[in-house]
Amino acid sequence: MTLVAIKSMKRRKKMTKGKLRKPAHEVIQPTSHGRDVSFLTWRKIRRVVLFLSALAIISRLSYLGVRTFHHDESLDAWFSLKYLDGTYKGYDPVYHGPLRFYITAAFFWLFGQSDSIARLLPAISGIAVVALPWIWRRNLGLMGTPLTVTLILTSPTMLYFSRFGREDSFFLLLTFLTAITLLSFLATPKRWHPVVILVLFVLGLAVKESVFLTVFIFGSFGMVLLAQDLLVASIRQTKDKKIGKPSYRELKREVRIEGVTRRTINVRSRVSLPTNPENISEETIRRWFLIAGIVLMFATFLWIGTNPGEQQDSPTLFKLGVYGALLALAIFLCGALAVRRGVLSPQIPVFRSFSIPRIAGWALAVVVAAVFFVAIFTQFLQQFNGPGAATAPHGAIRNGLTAGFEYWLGEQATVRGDSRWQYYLVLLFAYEWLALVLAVVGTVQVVRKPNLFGQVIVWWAFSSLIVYSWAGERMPWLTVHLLLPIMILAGIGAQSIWDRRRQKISTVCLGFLIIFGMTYACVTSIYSSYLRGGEPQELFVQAGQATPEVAEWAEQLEALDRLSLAHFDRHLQVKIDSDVYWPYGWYLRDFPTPSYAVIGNSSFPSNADIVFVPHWDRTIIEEEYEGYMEIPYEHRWWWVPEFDTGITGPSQIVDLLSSWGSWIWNREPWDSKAGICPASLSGSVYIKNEIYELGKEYFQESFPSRGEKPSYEKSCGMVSNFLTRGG
Amino acid sequence: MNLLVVLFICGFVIMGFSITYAMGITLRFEERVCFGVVIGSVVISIIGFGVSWLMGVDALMVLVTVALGFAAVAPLIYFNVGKIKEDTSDLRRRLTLPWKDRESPKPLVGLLLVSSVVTTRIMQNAFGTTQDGGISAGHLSVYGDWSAHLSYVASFAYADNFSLSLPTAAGESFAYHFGVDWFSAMFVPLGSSLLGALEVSTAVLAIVFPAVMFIACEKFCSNRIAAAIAVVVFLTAGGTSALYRFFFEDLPDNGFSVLANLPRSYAFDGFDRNWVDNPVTGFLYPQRPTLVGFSSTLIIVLLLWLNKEKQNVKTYVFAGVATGLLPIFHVFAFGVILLIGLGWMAIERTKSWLFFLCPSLLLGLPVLIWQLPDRNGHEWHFLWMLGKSSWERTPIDFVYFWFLNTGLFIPIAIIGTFITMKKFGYRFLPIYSLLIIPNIAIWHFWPGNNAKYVVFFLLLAAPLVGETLSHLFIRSAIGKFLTLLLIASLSLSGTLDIWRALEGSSGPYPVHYLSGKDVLVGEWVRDNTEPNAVFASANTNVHPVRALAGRTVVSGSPGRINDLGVDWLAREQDLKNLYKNSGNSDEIIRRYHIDYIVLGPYERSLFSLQDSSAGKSGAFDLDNFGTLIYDIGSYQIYETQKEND
Repeated sequence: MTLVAIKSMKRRKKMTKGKLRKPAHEVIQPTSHGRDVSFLTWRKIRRVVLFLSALAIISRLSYLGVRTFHHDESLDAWFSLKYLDGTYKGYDPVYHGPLRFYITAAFFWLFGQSDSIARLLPAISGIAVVALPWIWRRNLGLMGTPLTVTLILTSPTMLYFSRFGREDSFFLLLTFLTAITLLSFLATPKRWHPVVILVLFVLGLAVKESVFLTVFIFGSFGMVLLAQDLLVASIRQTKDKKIGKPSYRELKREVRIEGVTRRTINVRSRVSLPTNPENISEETIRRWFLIAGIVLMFATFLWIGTNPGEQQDSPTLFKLGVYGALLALAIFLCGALAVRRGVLSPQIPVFRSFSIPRIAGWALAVVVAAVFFVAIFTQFLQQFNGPGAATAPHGAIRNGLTAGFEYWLGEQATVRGDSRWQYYLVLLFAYEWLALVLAVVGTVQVVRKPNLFGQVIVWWAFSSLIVYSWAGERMPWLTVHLLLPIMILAGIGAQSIWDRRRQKISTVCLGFLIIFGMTYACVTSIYSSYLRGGEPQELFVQAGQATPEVAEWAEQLEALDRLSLAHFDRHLQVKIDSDVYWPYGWYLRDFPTPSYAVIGNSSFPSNADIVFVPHWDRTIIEEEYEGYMEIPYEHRWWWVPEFDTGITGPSQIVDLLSSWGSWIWNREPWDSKAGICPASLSGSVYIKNEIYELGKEYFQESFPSRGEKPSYEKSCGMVSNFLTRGG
Repeated sequence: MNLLVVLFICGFVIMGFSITYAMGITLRFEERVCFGVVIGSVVISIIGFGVSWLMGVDALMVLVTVALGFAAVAPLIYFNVGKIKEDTSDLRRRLTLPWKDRESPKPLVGLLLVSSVVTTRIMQNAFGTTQDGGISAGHLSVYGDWSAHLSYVASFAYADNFSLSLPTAAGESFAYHFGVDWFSAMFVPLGSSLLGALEVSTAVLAIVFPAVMFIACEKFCSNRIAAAIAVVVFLTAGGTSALYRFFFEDLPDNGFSVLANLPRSYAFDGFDRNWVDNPVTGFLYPQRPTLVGFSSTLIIVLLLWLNKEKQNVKTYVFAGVATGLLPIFHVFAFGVILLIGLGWMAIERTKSWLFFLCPSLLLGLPVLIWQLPDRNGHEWHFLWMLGKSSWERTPIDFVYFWFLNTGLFIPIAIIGTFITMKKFGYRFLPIYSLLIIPNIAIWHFWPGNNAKYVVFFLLLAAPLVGETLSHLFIRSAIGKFLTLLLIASLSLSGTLDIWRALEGSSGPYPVHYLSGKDVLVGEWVRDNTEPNAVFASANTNVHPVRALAGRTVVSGSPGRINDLGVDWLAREQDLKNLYKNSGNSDEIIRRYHIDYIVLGPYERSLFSLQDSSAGKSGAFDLDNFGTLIYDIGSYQIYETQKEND
């Protein structure tokens, strides 16, 4: 008898007993806005999310090695290789935490060493990030959940940096898991939560120092939430009970998250029933605490300033301390009120969450986290000494505890990457405008009806935007850390529009937005990650991105070495100047002779068969290369456009729109009249004539291959040397 | 592994999965997937061969093949959509069961996971790079048998060998079960390198084999413990050598650090004392036809087994057709299945067995006859190994041989046959003939090949061993201890050998396989000579012209072409004459239709050409050979065809 037959028989049996029950799959599940959604509907959504996750697997894993390595990617891969060889010296904050080196080394051990495998960890993390919003499906709703997943899946930024061999994708996954666990801890605390939270913190620390920003973001939210809870609880103690349990006609289970208790699983992203006038105060309190907290944070970072010079006299930590003190003061005042009104700690949800694991649970969490910490930072108890670098001068454990923070703090006094505070906003508008638009709707929704989930996401999104825009290092790969909460907020926004779908205009707007935005995102993603991945007209491409010529040369060097050994019975002597050494350090990992060199005035390596020098060294040594064939060479490229496209007044706004329009339509970069076009770090490859002739004989016309380079229709023309172009 | 390769694999697995619905046997979802991998690889290979014969080997061919494959299985999918849905929901239900539950798919998933890690790692070790830009071999399987398989795969991928000529012996037909090598070649137009194609195709089939065996044994045996034991004792079989060599020699000498550098193979010593190698490192990986053969044998025998009550004609026809196709993939498997089928047919004596027998013989026999070598290599003998290498012709040596090579496997299997005799043991009686055959006959020129029968005995008797040991295991605490002890004794040698391959730096491996010069000349030949060109080159174990370019040569490695019944001695003499007396080479060049003559390090070394006749570039005075068209490093290639036709 089949399973279906058995089920139907059981169903009939129940019916004949006179108890007409709804079968399990038809059990009504409450959802937002008072609509009942059956289990079958959720099953459909699950299928959609599964399908989208499958697409994530394909999009993140396919053709992973197609783009030439970025400088940083090659270093990550190189350190992983060193760990595999047993020559990794330990954590140095310059190169960030060691955990990803261990994992990538394990991948190398299992799958072999290749460009694709070096990017496997970010890709797997990227896949997980696409699927994880499913965990928040009850908060995001029927429309919000698949839309959030789709936004992450198709996001050009998310896709590009999920296929980028740095630590950001992995760190984003850890941050996401941390946020999920924290929210779960606040809503439905379990005894194991502290263990997971602290372990995730240690793992984050072992990946990237940005974990301090994560701690700041969620820590400050915790303070704001505590102040809220104290105030709400103390007002609830008043005799007239102005603030009571909000009454929601059809959503009893759902509404319980609103502050009375966070133990129910039916937490929703928004509550859209007409609010009981008696409860307006609680919403108002939460709304204004949220707004005030964010505004205060914004003001604090404005005070700190983004100019390094401004930080000299008034240290960052002090100003952050002032912000913390203000939040603490709010807690103190609200706490004092609560004490005065006789509020008991179990009435305060945050206190309840912290008390549930008990002291033993917290102690266990600390011990487990400490074990993880020691194991990871000592290379699994193999190496207790540090690397001895200036940035990591102590033993392995002390470096893990302090060096990262010290280094990160020191970095804030410098400006690395883009110097403009609006950098991330521009990137987000250029690539992720759909998410931004929906996130604005989501923000309005949360501010109108602030619940725990909504508050966490709004806080996460806004504080990330503020903190990352303030932080000294602005790089394209950091965009993902801002983008993820924005996309979740967008999911909330989409759901709120969907909930108003009876208003035709809302439905039409949402449909149009999604179709148009998704099309743009998909096309942009395919272009920027596959077809023209790594080309400088993309704003993701940072100055460390090597040109395809580098990969071509790496292959040709291997082949030329074989030829040299076969024909001249000796290995090639290749010398690559330190300024253009990476990512060759990775590509030539198996090359038989050392290739690193510092070439400068009067230090041309005369015994070398092939020499790679940057443009500035070429001018120094141009008289010393007799007997060599010189081949022009482009090592890295980038584009740092003026976001205003170089206009000088409002009258040229049409030019601005036209330039941006061309860029959006066919990635045509603009020349902002200052010679700022996509530019490259150029140089020369010098090949001994005999090697060159040998290469010509064997490879014929295909030698030397220099890879494909983009050309532009408008004023920028071709990518060329930044020194002569001024880029 | 790129996206196209992944899609291709998914494609043929889906095909195979769909075809399982034509078996007429009830299987679970995950069982269909595992069987589907094997069935799909066979089906895609057969369709692909036909398509390639018409349009050559390229990505379009693979696309057409996959499209045809899906067109073929579309009706099956259409008519079984309901069953597929049922199976899927049943899988979802069973996924929630605890792993100890008999229906839980978790043990199978766990087994697949372990198998994936081990296989991936071993395949990753298969080939490496050397300091001179050449290729290293990660273990004996690669250095030995894969040299020939590389030639076969390359001959399909780069030399359009659809006239089925033997690439290692010009003028001979491809009298070999080449199916799995053609299967590997299909990965090349999808973007895999030649070496990568070998690794990926091996990995796909090797990963799934333990799962297929577990599924089959689960249905043969009375419980899952027995099935698990059967899988373990077969995969890690290797005799009892390790008990002495490891515990009394290597471990005391080197301590536990010996595990990081195991000095030898424990299951095989080059046909001195140990003749029966570990099934994984000695058969599954190196002898690539077993990748299909082992799994197919289990699947087909299982079909016949499950059909014993119903006598479903559809199942018999399916099993018959599948068996009939096997000589293309593994001729030993074809023989073994026929043997068992005939045995069971004799037991049951029903007409429905004809539905199995007819298609299997009609399809299989012509291929088998085509594969028969011209030279008769049959030889009758008595007690296989006795009197050979260091085995004396004494009864003690006979017993000791089997103890050393198989441990207590055979006695435990016999006990298993007896304790299950009434239930199913009697059906396993035909497999004992696989122990008798190698002791009375040599059918494949070289007595060492008789181990191929023994390994099939181990494969099919493993459920009996599993059944016996599981009975012992569940009986008492002492029984548990004894079982573990027996499993350890049966498994240690093989486990150490698998570990050695997994670890990747033990013993002499990785060893130099092809030099940078070899790679250069191999790639140049591949890109610059006609696919059907015939080359004269050294008949060494490996040579770049045949291994990397897939071009046909006068003679490959003597041992391997001897296995196929080719007169290796005459060819070797011809090569010697060709290289030694270049002035009188016309007749040899004409006889083998030689287009190019290679003169490189292998030729100089093998034919002792290091003499004063070398010119300034190292080239010999071989103007009679024709035009020098390649002269890089120590390799020269002469084009002969135009001058000698």
